[in-house]
Amino acid sequence: MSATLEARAEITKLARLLGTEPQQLSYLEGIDPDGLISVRMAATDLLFDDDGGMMKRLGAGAKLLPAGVLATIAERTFGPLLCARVAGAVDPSKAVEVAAKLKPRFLADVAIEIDPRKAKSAIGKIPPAQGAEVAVVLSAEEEYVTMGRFLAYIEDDAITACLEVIPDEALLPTAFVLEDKSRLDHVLRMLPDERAVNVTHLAYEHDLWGEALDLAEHVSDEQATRLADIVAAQSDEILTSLINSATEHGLWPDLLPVSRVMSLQSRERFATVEAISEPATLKAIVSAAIAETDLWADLVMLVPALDTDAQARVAAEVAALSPDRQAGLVAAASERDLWVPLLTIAAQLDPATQERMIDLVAEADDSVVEGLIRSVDAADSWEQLGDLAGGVPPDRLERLTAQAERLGLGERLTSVLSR
Amino acid sequence: VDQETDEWARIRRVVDAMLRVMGEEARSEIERLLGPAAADALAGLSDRDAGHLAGLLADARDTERKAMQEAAESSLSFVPRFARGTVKKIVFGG
Repeated sequence: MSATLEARAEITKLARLLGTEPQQLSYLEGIDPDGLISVRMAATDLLFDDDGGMMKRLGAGAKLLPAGVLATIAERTFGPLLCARVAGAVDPSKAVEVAAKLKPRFLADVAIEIDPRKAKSAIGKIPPAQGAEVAVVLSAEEEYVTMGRFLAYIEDDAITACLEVIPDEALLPTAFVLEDKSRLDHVLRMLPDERAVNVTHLAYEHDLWGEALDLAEHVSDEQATRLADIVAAQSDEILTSLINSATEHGLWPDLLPVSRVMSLQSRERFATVEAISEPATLKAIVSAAIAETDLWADLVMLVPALDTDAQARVAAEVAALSPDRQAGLVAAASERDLWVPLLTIAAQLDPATQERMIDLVAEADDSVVEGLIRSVDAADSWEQLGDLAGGVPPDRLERLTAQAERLGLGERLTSVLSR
Repeated sequence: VDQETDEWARIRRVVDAMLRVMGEEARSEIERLLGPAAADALAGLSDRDAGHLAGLLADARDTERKAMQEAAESSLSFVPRFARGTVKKIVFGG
């Protein structure tokens, strides 16, 4: 998850805690997400730990009364706030027994006020049907942060039950602020394709692309691919909205990995959307890609699917980088065996940068040169290599040709270089 | 004109000094409420933003305390009037 999205999710949760709107806390966007988590945890302690002694006394008192009496007292006299605070001090089994006798509306109000860290044992024991009833009330009131806290602690079967009743509109906003995002993979697995398509349309209608990308980042590659392919199958209008939103909000560090997990067909479809070839978009993509090695690898995989003009623009951005940066990009391509897509970019570079790239390879370890030759041979990209290295003086290609000879591919290389 | 400019510059210096003091107070308040680790994380905030956040935290805590007080008072309604004082003392610590 990029720091931008992580900070946004944390600010949303902190704003809910402090009873304000996230926009009022926009000045926190520059704070490191881990710092924001520590701020929210400390603020939660500040608000919820004030009356610890009193809650322990009330919790001890709850042991003495039957669940039915406690439920009556809870609804008629204690009210949701006091119940929420005392829930953490009550024996979990007793708390569940009492909760079973409470109305969903009241339980939803308790959920809004509760610190789930203190009552997680009790929340974990909530039966699926009752959890779903509470989820209906909370989603109707757009209590996404509360749902995100609540869903983090209930069992898988209760999540399944909740998922059936939570409307599609609430899925992305809730997933975005979920306390334990490792559960998202399980949630997404249970979401049928038609609902996932509907969620994609809602992301487009309400500009929830940040939330959608965040979801894709927190699931397994298998589920991310499923989601990415569903998105890529949508209309140009929807994909343009995604691409523009990523450029406008600095979300390419989140979108590039999604393009990587797309099936080849989906990636090719995604790359044909006109908006991706806009100069401002390509600049934003390259800026994101050079900041992180993994993202550069993602971009290298996307480039062959782009049209020639867009490839040339990416190449121009690469040519403008410092030699150190360019060396880093070659090393990253080598590490991830991305030589063939890198050749596509290199073919668009100006001659001077092409020569610099060839020199970088020629000066690299034997294993790097060997990796290049093996990749080129496996993909039958000899013509591309020939186009790139054909103009370079033979003495600077000695190591390349020697390595090709060693691999029994000397003739193949010589023939493309001599054209 | 020069005199006016001097006067404005003096006022600006005073206002800046006041904001600085308020910012320092806000940072101390944040550290008092949230502890040093959270305060460190927020060290980069401007004086104005630190003041805003400190205000929100204090308001949220006051609202919470008031709501808890009201909930506690209201919860005593099921206790017979003559016993409320004793129950309140035992359960809510006074």
